[in-house]
Amino acid sequence: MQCKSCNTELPKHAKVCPKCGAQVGKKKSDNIMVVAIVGLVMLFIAGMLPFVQNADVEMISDAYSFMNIDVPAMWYLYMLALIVAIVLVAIKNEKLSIIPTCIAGVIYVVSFLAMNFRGYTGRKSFTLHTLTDLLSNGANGESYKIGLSVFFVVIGLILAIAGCFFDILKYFKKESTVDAKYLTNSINKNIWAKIYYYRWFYVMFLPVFIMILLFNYWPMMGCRYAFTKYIIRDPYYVGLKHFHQMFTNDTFFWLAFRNTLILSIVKLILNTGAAVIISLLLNELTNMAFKKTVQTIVYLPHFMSWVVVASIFRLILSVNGSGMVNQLLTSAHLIKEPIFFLGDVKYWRGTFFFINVWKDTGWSTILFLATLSGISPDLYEAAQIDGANRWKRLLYITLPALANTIITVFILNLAKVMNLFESVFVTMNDAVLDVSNVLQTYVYRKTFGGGNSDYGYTTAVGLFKSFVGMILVLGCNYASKKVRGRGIV
Amino acid sequence: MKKTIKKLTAVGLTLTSVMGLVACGSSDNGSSSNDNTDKKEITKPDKFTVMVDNTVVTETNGAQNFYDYLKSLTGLDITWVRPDHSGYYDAVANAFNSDDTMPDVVLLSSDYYALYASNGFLWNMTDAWNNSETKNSGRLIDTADNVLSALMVNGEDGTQSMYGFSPYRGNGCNTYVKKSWLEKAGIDVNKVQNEQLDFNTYYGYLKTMAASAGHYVISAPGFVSTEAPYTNYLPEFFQKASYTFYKDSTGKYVDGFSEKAMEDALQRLATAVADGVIDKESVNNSTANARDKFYSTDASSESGVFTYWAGTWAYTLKTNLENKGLNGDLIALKPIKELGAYVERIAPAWCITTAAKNPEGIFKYFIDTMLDGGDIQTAWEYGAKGTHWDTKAETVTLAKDEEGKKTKTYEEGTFHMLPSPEKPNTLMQKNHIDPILALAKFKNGTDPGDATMSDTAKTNGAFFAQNSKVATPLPMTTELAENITDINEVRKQVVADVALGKSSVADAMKHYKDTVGSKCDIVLKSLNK
Repeated sequence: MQCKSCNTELPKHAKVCPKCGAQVGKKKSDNIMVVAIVGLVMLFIAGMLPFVQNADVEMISDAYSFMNIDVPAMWYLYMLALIVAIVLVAIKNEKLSIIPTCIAGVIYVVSFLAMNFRGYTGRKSFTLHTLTDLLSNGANGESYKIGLSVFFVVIGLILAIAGCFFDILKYFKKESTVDAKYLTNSINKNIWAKIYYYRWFYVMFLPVFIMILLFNYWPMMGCRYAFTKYIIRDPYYVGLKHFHQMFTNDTFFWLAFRNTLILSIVKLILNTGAAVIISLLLNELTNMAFKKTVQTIVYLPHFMSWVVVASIFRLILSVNGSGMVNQLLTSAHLIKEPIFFLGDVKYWRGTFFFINVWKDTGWSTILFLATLSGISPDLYEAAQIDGANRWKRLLYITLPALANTIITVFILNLAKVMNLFESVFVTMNDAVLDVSNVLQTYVYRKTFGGGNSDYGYTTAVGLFKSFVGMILVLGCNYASKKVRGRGIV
Repeated sequence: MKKTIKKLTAVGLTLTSVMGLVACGSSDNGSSSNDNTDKKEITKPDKFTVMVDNTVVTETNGAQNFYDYLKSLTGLDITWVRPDHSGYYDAVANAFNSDDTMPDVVLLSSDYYALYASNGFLWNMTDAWNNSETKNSGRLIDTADNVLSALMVNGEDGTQSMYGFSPYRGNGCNTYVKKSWLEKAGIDVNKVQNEQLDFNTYYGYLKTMAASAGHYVISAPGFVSTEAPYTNYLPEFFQKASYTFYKDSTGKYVDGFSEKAMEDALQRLATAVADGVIDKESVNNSTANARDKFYSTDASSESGVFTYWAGTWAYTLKTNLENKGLNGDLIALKPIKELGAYVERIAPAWCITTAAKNPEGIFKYFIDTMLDGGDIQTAWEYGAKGTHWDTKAETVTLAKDEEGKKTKTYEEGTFHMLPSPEKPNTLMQKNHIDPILALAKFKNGTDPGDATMSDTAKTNGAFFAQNSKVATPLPMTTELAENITDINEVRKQVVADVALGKSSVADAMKHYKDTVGSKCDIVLKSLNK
C-alpha cells in the first residue's frame, strides 16, 4: 500500500505515513452525529408523552404514561439512560451510546407492557389498569388508544441507533484538508485521555460541576409536572392536557405571549439604539471630567432596584398634586387633564419603554464605549487630513467599527427576550393588564393569585416559554456564527 | 488491582445513584393516622412539630424565649418550623409533599384551610372541639359561634366539618374619617359619628370634603383587595354586592359578580372616581401607598377617609398621624344603611394534619389550652414572661424615644410590656392572639394586659365586633380551584376599567361574560352539584 500524499510504500497496518505524516486509510469523522441526537431527543420527549390516550378527543383527557405506572422509578431510569446516551454522542462515542439507548428502549417496553397504570380517584386512592384492560375496556367510561409516545419511541429508537452510523453533517460541512491531529494538541487523542491529562483542573471544577448538576440540571426534572395535574402529594399524569388548554382555551396565554414579544423586542431595540447614540455622543466629548461625570450619572440608575424605580416614577407621573410631569404639562397648557401614564393602556407601554431606557441605557453604553476607545486614532487623523468633517468621520469610521459590537449585543440580548418579569411586575396594574401582562407575570399571578396553585399548568406555560427561549438562543447562535464567525453557546 | 477498584467504585456509584432515584420515585405508602380512635384514652403528645408564620413572635423577636416559656407552662415538647413569612404557603405546600416533612400542626389562612381540608390533609376536630374545655368553659365571647361556624368546611368526603380552630376573630376593615376634614368641610361631626348614614348622605359628605380639599378624599389600596371578601376596602360603594360566588336565599350558588347589585356598585365606583371623590391611583396603590397618603403631610396628596383594619390599627393610624404633626382624631363610621354591616374575614386556623400520631392529644394539650383563660392564654397574647412582658417591679427603658418618655417604673405585680427584643425603641404590643380579638375571656374576667392596650384600639375593636358579620366561606371544588384565578383576574380588570371610565358597566359586563362566562358556569355547576 502506498501513501496517497507522497506515494511512499507504507508498512502493514500503518495509520500514519512515516514520511509525510498523512493519515492513512478511512478518516474518522469529527462531526457530531446529529441524527442520533435527534433520535435521542425524540426518545426524551416520548418519556413525557402518553402511552395510552383518549380515543375520542385527542390529548385532552386523562392519559397514562411513565408517570402513572406503579413503579415511577422507571421513568427516572429511562431518562438517565437517555442522558448517558446523549452525553456519549456528544463526546463522539456514538457507538457506545447504542447500549444506553437500548437499555432505555428495554425500560420503555417493560414499563409499557408489564406495568400497571394508576388511575387517580382521590388522595392516596387509585385504580390499577393494565395496558390490555385500558385498550380493550377503557376507563371511566372512555375508550383509549395507543398514545403519541409509542410513535415517538419507535421513530426515536430507529434514528438514535441508525444515526450513529450516519454522518449527515459531512454533506453540509466543508472538508478540512488539514489532519485533525495538527489542529489540536497532541494529547487530544480522545476525551478520556484529555480528562486524565487535565485531571487536577477537573478536580477543581468538580464542586462547580456538582453545584450546576444539583441546582441547574436536577430541577429540570420538574418539567414533568407540566404533564401532571398538580394535587399536593399526588400529582397525576394528564398527558398534553395543559398544553391543549393553553393553546386553545386560555383567557390570557396568547395575550401574555404577544405582550412578551412586543415589550421585549421594542425595549431591546430602543435600549440598544439609545445606548449607541449616548456612546457616540460621549465619545465626542473632549472634556474628560465632564465625560466621566456624565458617564457616572447615566450608569447610576442601573444599580437601583426596580421596586425603587417604580416608586419614583409612580410619584413623578402621578395624576395628583405630587405628579411633577403632569403639573409641568398642565402649566405649559399642553394638556387639560392629567394623564394617567401608568394606568392607561394608551400610555403604559410608552412609559414602560421610557423607564427602561432611563434605567438601563447607561449600563449598556459600557460595551460600546470600550469598542470606541479601541478604534485607532490614526484612522481619524488620516480622515481629518483627507478633509473629513466630524459627521463623515462618525459615518465612515466610528459606525463601521461599532457595527460588529452592536450586532453582538443585539443578538446576545435577543436570546433573553422571554425573561421579562421584574420591570413589568412593578409597573403593571389591573387597569393595563391587556398591554402589560407578560408570560412571567402571568405565570406568577396564576400560581400565587389564589388559594390553589396549579403548578402543573403554570409549569406547562413555563416549559413553553423555555422552548421559545431555546429556539431564540439557537437562532441567535446561528446568526452569531454568520455575523461574527463564532457562536454564543 | 487498580482497575478492579475503579470498576467496583464505578459500579458502586452507579448503584447508589439508581437506588437514590428509585427512592425519589418510590410510591408513598405512609399510613394515615386519621384512624378512628374515639375510644382510646387521650394521652399527652410526646413530641410534635408546629409550622407557623410570623404571626407568632419571630425568631429575632424573642421566639426562643416564648417557646421555652410555653414549654414550661404546657410541658409540651414542640419542634417549631418557621418558614420565611413571604414564602410561607410555598413552604407549607413543600412540607405537605412528604410524610417526613409534613408538620403535625399548621396554621392556615382561610383559602388554604379549605383547600387542604378538601384534599384530606387535615384531621377532623369537630368532636374534639365539641368536647373541649374551651367550648364548655362559658368564657367564649358572644360572636365566637359565628367565627367558628365559618370554619366548617368540606372535607375530602364532601361533608362539612371543623378541620381547624382559631383562637381569635378574623378582624376586618372599617371606615375611618378624619375629624379635621369634616370640620374643615363644615360637616356635622356628631351626625357622622353617631348616626347611621345612608349612601346618598355619605356620598354628599364625601363630595363636600373633596370640594373643600380640592382633590380626592379616598385613596384605597386597590379598588378591590386581593383576598376574600375582596370588597372590604370600599365597602360603602360595593354595599351588599358580592364579588364572587355565594349561596343566595334559595340555597343555590350564584355568581355575585354578574348580578345587578354588582353592576350598580361598579356604577357608583365609576361616578365617585369621575367626581374626584376616589383617587384614580387606587388601582395602582399598595396598602403601604394608601396608608402613606392617609398620613401625608402634603395637602395635595393627603386622603381624608380610609377603610382599613379595625382594633389595633385604629391606634396605629392615630399615632402615626400625630407623629407626623397631623390631627389624629378619627371617627369610625358606622356601616351605612345599604351596607348593613362590615365584613369580618375568616380567621386563620390552627389545624392538625393527618401526619400527627396523636391528634387528640395535640388538640387537648396544645390547641385547647390556647384559650385556657390563664397563663397559657397570656403567653399566646403577649409572649414570654421576662422577655416580652413582666409583672415585677422595674423600670422599663426604651432605647430611643421622645424626650421624657424613655423610662417608666412599675410596681411589683403590675403587668407591663417590655421593649421589643427586635426594636428596643418600642414596647412589645402582642403575640399571636390580638387581645382585642381573643375568642375567650380570662377566667377572672379580666385580661391581665388590659391596661397596656390603648383605649382607641379597644373601643374600635368593640365597635367593629358590634358592626360586623363574619364572611361566609366558599366550598372548594376542583373546578373552582382550577378556574378562580382566571375569573378573578377578569373581574379585577372589569372593576378597574369601569372605575377609570374606560368602559361602561354594560360593556365591561359583556366582556366578563364573553371571557370567563363559561368558566363561571363550570364553577357554578360544581358548587351546585
